[in-house]
Amino acid sequence: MSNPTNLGRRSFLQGASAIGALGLSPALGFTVPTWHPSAVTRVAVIGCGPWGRKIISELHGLEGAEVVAVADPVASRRKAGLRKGPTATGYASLAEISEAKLDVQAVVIATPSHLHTELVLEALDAKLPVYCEAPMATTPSDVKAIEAAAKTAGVPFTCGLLVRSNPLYAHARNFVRSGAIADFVGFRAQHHEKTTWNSPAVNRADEKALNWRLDPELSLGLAGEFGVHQFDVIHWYTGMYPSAVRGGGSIQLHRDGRKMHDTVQLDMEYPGQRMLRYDATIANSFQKRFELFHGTAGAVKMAQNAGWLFKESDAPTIGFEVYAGRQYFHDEEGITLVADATKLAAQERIKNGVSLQEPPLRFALRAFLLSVQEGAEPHCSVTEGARASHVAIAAAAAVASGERIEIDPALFKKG
Amino acid sequence: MGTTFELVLVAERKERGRLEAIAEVVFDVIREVESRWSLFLPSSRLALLNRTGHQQALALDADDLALFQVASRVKRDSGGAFEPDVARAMDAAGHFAARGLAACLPEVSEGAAAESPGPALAGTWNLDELSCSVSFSGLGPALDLGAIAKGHALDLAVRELSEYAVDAALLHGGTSSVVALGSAPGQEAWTVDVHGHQVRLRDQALAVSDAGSQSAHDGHILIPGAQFIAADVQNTAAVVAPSAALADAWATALCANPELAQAASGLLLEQNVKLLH
Repeated sequence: MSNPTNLGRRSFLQGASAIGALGLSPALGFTVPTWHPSAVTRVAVIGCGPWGRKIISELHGLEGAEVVAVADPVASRRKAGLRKGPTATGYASLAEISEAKLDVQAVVIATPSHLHTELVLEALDAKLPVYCEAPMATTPSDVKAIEAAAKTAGVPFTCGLLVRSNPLYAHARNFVRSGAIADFVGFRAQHHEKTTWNSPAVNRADEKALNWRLDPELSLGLAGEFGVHQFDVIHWYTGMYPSAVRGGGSIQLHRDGRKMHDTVQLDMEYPGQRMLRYDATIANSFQKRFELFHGTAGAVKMAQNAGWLFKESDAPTIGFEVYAGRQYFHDEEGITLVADATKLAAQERIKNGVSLQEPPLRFALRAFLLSVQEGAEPHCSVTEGARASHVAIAAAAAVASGERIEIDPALFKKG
Repeated sequence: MGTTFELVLVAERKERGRLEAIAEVVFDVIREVESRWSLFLPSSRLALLNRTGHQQALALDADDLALFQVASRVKRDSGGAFEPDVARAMDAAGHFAARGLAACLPEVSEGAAAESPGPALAGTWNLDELSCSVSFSGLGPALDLGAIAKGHALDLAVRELSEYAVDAALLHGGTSSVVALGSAPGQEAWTVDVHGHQVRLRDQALAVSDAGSQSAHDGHILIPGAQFIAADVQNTAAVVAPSAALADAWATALCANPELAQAASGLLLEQNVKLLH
């Protein structure tokens, strides 16, 4: 006869040993630690394009934030921004907000990348905490100007590199850095998203300004806009930065007169003769976005809200595999990376994996508010934001020129 | 929503590139509704509301508020025949599993279950229009907006098209919710076939609800109440209304309780809702 009590106890003991083996704690799980902010930060969001509106929407739903102003020079976008932030007042620019003498306590910059610098400097000059989207800027001198200003402003600065506040990525990083895949062999990453990158304008006079991403004079293209987030994953997971990048690009689908490539490939050189192979396209969406770390004992693949470990046959047992769910990719078995694995196993919820219970952007904005209200470390410092932006600028230059671009190691020096 | 949306946009050939870009914007709007109000995404607003609505009100933006206003109004006017608080009952009846879906529902503690045995746990959902928020009065509520979110997505899509001055389009979600903007080229309206009946739509929405459409053995529409019994699989309803959310919600209500059609006919007319079938 079965004894449910004993079975339960055995399951519990297995769970307890696995916690020890992995060093996991509930804090690494996907449930967010309860945070009841004592204050409400009055935030202005500059830029009401599609991403800016997502930011407004998330902030509107966050405890501890009140969106008091949204700004965009394009009236239709401003109107759309106000729908997402009904407590806000609309303005054409940060300067207008400033002139209105509105009581603002923090600023989120979500304008086109080439317009970040002036706005960030203006906000920092007013001693306002800043959350700036990535890439921080599109020229090395602008990136350096932002970095210098943020380091002397004495107010929190966060770069919007989202993975750094994503609990799943944080969990998997601990896992990778504790040697789960042993020594790095190389890296792969891609961003595939079938889209036009065309932004239609309600008022056709706004069309050129709204389509800044398609203008090679203004935009870093796919390598910069998509790549910056993924280069940062490599930096964060490995602690390594590239010394050179070679690239190329082409137009594979959108032959509508644009000059900006719709497909790019990059080879990035990392210490120890390791390479990052990167490609991005808006002509195909297969496998969307991922970062892949190859190691001598296995590989880890991260795909925003999911992650997997693929073990080599000679890799040692770690422990959590007993409980983990599995997904198959052709003939590879991927072990689902889930924090709180043992707790979830006890609840019989682990086999299908568990996704993030909040969108990645919400984690990032909450972390920013924590830095503003409680002095917590920003999830992505201006230093790391600047490093990723410099790499993105070099990558865009490599794609544009087709040449190998060396990256100054001084950009990554500590201090 | 987990369904297919299609758009037919009408414009001159030279506008094709612009229309493609507008279509992308529209699909982004639809995806946004999915990511906010899907019962099957753990990171959706709906999953958050179902997890924490008894502790903390969920702040709504202007579009969210419009969605909940329609839900609240149709719930009231249909005498509860339309009720979004059916997620637990739907899950318990196996309707999600039958479609290969796993609903993101919070587990209910044994204590809470003991207080109110059966699928209907204590509490209700409350819309506070002044503070633009929605909350739960107890542990029990768990909303499923599947009977209205498709329509809501289509309404936002049509608004987006109108802002870009697109004046002729036909949109549908899962073929059961349709919106016509303007008319088909050379016609006075768009013509849609519903079970062999031709329905002409112009700046109107049509929703069709069929209690037997998603399950071979049991109706997928539940009649709200203490026991949440399945509606007769023979029940179908087709409704034309000024907005797709309104059409969706009334189609579900009328499918759950066909007798409502007569009882609420004056009310339906007042809301410009027309029952076709």
